[in-house]
Amino acid sequence: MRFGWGARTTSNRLMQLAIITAVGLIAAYSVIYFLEPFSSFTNTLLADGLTVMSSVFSAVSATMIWKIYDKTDAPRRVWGFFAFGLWLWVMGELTWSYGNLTLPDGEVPIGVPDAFWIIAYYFLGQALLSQYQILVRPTQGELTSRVTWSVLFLCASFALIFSVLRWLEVSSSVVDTLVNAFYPAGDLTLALAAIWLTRNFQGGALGRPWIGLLVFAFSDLMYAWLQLSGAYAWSLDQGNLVSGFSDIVYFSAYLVLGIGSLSQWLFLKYGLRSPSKAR
Amino acid sequence: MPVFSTLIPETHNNASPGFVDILIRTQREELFTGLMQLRYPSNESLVFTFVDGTEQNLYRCHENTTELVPRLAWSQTLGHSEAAVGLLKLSLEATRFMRVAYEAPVVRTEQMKLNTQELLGHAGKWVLEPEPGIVHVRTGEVDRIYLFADRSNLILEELSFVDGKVQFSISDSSFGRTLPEAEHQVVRYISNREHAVWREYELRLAFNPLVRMLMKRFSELAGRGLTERLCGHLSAWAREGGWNITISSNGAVNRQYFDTLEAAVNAYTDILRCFQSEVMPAVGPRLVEIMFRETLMKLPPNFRDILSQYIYGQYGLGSAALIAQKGGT
Repeated sequence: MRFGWGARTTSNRLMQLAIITAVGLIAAYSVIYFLEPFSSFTNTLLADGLTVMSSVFSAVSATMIWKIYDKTDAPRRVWGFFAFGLWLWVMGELTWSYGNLTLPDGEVPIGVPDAFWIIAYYFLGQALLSQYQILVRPTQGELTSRVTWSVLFLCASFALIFSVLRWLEVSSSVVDTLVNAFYPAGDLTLALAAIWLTRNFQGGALGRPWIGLLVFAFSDLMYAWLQLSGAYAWSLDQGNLVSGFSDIVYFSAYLVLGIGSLSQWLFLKYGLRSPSKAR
Repeated sequence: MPVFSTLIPETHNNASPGFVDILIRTQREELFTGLMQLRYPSNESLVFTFVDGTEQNLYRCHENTTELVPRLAWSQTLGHSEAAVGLLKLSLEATRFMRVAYEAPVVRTEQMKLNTQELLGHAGKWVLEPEPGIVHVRTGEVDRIYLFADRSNLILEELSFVDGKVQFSISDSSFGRTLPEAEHQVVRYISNREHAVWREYELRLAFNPLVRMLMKRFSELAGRGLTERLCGHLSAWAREGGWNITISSNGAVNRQYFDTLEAAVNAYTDILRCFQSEVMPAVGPRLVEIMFRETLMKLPPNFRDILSQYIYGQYGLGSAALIAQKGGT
């Protein structure tokens, strides 16, 4: 797929195309969200459809990275877990959108989508752990210690958020509260891991997807906070500025994640080919 | 060391200066690699090293000393009387070996007669000694020369002279096991590690594992595909720079004849600078710095010392600046 261009030109143009498309999609999403140009159902369908599409884009990009690595390559393991986690998120988005379009008022209860989303955290965690192992090459003791601290952090933040939610009586059922408490805790853990990875790669092409994950974790945190505070609007006609901003950031985060992964894929496929300017 | 000149078989006697000129031109045309000796009646001899038909160095050998003749003085040095000419075809590795043998200063000499077991025992001690040495083992009609410089005992280069043919091989201090059970005449020339010829030699030995470990680490981070592309790029880069050095994921195949330490340092530094500039966009400056530092720490101490002194030392240990600074100059 070089269209007769050189490797670097192909890479730059595909990247530019992806960024322009992403900006166009964010603009389209914002127009649909705030101007509501169509009927209520069509607006929701388009907004949900765009979100599913952006999640598919991020999952496809991650799968492409997984595929480009040799079977013996250590990073392939990272991208296998990461891509699988993102495909589970796609399933979560799909089932949530279905519920959002078919249920009265569009309010999706805790259920199937959450199962996909929550299971995905395990695979994303495995991906981060594999990347950590590649970067640091820890001893078994160091690895056990790092995993233990991460799990303890996750459990502690989960317990804390759960207690606060129970105290605030945000949800009527314990299961709802458990699930609602998990997202911020999981996102916070992912965000910290992504910050660590981003810091290590310092702008290197192989670290760009982790910037996307960082953005995603923060956007999901914002979404979780809005949902728990009751400020989240389940349908566009009930929409408000904060809710709209959160949805746009959430939608954009998938695109950032996808572009980060695409950027790594382009680097793996076309990078290091032009003569160096060092001499 | 002048004694090694006796290992060059004479091919032409009483060659006139004009014929010597023709012989030199012939070696150029035939892209000869090896040694050419001119022995004059005054008992002085001159030895040229050739690499791919180009004269690299000229040594004037007296009875006990060898002197490197500056290139500008070559034409005046060549005698105007008849000479006995000897030619010894060598591989590039053997030619580099002989450069060390000719140029290394001799601080002390030890002579002994040892059986194979005793030789093995001595070799185990020589390899650990702080100063490098050249060991000449004569067994019957067979001469073998060894360079004892690598204190990590990973590499012991050997040159065997059998029936006018020379074979270069790499062994370690247990080389004696391959020798026949016999009495060996052994001469050990103890040298000075600080001499530039040893520093260049050790730097060459250290460069290969450094590159191999850097490539292995990059492959872990970025995968085999990108690593192979990087190797191809670095090899092309080295070729364009005029160096016969090929980079692979297994390290550097170094077939370059450096006639000075400075030339070697510049080449290795430039290759590492190129590595850095290619790898940094992939993994970022922080990981590049860690990669260089960790790799250095994993090398045997003698390799670490020489690389620190000539490559890392000038730019600071964590060498993200390694070579960027050099690039700026």
